[in-house]
Amino acid sequence: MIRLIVLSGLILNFLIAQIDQIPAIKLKLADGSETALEEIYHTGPVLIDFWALWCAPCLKAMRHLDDLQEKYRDQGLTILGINLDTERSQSKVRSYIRSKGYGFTVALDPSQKSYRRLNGTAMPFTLLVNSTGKIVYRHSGYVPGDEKIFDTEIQSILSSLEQSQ
Amino acid sequence: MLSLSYSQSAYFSAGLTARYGSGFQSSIEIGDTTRNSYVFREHTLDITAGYGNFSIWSNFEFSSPPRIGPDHLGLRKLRLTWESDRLSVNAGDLYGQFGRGLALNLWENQGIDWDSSLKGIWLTARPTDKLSVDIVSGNTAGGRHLPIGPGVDTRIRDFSEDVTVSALLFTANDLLPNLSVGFYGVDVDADNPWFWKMQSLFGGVETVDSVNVRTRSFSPGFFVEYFGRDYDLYVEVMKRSLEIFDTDSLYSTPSFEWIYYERENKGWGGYASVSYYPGKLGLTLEYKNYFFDDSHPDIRTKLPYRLGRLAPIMNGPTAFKEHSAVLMRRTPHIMDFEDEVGIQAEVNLNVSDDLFLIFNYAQSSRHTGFRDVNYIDGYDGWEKVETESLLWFSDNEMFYPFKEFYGEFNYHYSPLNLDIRLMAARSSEIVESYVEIINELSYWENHTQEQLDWKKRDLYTLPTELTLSLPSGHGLTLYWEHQWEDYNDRNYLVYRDLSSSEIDSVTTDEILTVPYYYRYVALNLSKPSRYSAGFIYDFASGIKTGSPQNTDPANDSWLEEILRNSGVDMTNKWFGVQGSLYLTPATIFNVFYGSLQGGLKCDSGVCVYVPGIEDAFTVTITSNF
Repeated sequence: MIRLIVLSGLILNFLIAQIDQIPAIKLKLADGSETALEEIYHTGPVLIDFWALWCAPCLKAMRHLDDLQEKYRDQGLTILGINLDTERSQSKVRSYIRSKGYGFTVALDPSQKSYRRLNGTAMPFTLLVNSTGKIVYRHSGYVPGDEKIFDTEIQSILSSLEQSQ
Repeated sequence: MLSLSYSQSAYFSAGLTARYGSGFQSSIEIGDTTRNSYVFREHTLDITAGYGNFSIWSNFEFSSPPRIGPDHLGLRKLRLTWESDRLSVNAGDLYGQFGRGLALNLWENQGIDWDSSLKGIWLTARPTDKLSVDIVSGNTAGGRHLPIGPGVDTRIRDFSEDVTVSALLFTANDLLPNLSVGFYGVDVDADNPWFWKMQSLFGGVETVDSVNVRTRSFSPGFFVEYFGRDYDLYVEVMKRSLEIFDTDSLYSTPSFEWIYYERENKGWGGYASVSYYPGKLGLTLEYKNYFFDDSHPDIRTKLPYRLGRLAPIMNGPTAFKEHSAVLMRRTPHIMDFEDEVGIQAEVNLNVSDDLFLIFNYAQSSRHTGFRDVNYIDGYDGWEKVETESLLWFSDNEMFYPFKEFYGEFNYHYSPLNLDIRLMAARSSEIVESYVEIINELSYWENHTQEQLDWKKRDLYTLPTELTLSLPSGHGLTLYWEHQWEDYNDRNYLVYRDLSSSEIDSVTTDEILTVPYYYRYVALNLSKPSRYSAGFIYDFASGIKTGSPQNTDPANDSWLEEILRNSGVDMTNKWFGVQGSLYLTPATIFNVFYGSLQGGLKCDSGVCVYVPGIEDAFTVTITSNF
């Protein structure tokens, strides 16, 4: 019994130590090309936002995410919107993004594999990942003003990046 | 060339959703005013862990009972995944789709108790950068809910089909620049419960005609996808050949008749979309044409009898707008995936940085209509009528036409930091069984009596949302929605001279039933990542079961008691208060007290009635870590 408890403790300790690492995720971008999440975060921090056209709070948040992309583009931040629309509205996603003129990267995940892998529980689901792939911030839902918190978190990760350089 | 490398680091994530509610459920049967206790405990925990190329996902559920669906205690889903650049293997509970899902679409929504995921294996091989091969094999036993009706307990799953699937997909990516093509074949072997539920003479509900019928289908298909600089195209076509085993006919006890089935049933489905987005304009046109089953109304209106229906893993695009507005969501178009042709057009227009417009139009109908004919020579039965073109929808009421206009105005008023969202929708639809009865008359030589009855629903909805970002950092959201629902009952009685086909006389009886009016208001104050508090008010001018709600002060909650004592007429009104607390940015604790109206809840064209809950206290915790 003691062995079992010790073993369970070791496994749990190992898992908790790794809790913030984002898994490898393949991405199909809205322009039809493919990439891996790893290739994006190796170039700088990434704010990942899971959204869908049917999710009204998600759409409210997006104009602010676009502003954040403009503000921190030169500092290496990538905003990655992963769209989770299924076949019912998948055809409208590119049209929506292009007409809105959003400048951030959009990926399509109609099977919601990436969302499931990260066990999102409420939409929009937002994650901030540093350039080593560690998740430094998670956020569920959106209410007005959340964009200011995202801004603060981004500033924090960029300043720690500058200090380390 | 794409190169996907997999890091050797480990990861772990978990998501928790815990729901508890206790209140009452009003009867939805006409004339019945009883209330029953309504308690739910529904807790799920998702855990994902991975190392290198391996990952494991598990879902634990502790529900006894959930809000809707069956109880479950323990491990519910498990999947092991191994992925490399050229090969990925998933074993366990599988989700995903081929193309746009016409032949294979594995998905789940526990909110409507829908689960078409497979237990099995999904192997994807990428022998070259341009070619991929998917092999899927597994079994699903997801449940079905019958439409709302006498004796149907909407919280309980009515039946499950045991479906075994084998599928193969070849995809050629960038066959030509930006052009991808896929070919697939899906084999489905299903065991279908064949039964009907009817109200017992002694109270309650009894299930009759209970037998199992095996069906087997094969569905080959292809899809083509192309991306241009400012446009994209998608086309998918599939064909289905279905064989019904073990029976040529079954005896229906409630209908007191033999129901005959063709042993072979051939059907087809197609979906196409074109999107064009030059600059600030975005235009999407969609076309759907599903024609898999043309059963007559005696079979079509009773889901277990409809053996020609699609397997639950087949779920193509709906091609009409599925709304997120509260009242519009409760009164959706319920499509017939086995027999529907239609279009959808959506225009997005970004007039300026602060003004964005959306226009949507959808129209559809069935391919087939039916006449109940009664000829003088003794023939009595259904006569099928098809639309003029199987490729286009019809306006004729016989084919259940549906149409909807929708417009949305989004404006950001910068000086006040105010977001204004105004929506307007108008839809019309034939909602209840259209019957055309033709009787050859014995008392009037060479004449027929033709009777037409149908019920049309017109809906007008105006949702409005104002969101104000206050200087203090708080956000204030006011949402209100008005809806008018009119039912038109039309009855025509026509006497026709068969020798000339001329109509001799017409009796038209148009009854406009009492229109319904609904109102929904929600006010919410929030502090980002801290808390939110809100108030909900829901009103209906009439209840379709005929029994007004919230009339008895003895059943009042403390909230209703306060309001009633303040002089508020509580008839057909539902009130609620809710508060949320962010324990962490990804952990939300929510409490609700009050009443919520029930209604249809839909996802991807699958609609289930989720009952309301009255005088309830609910607690919800969602967390991601």
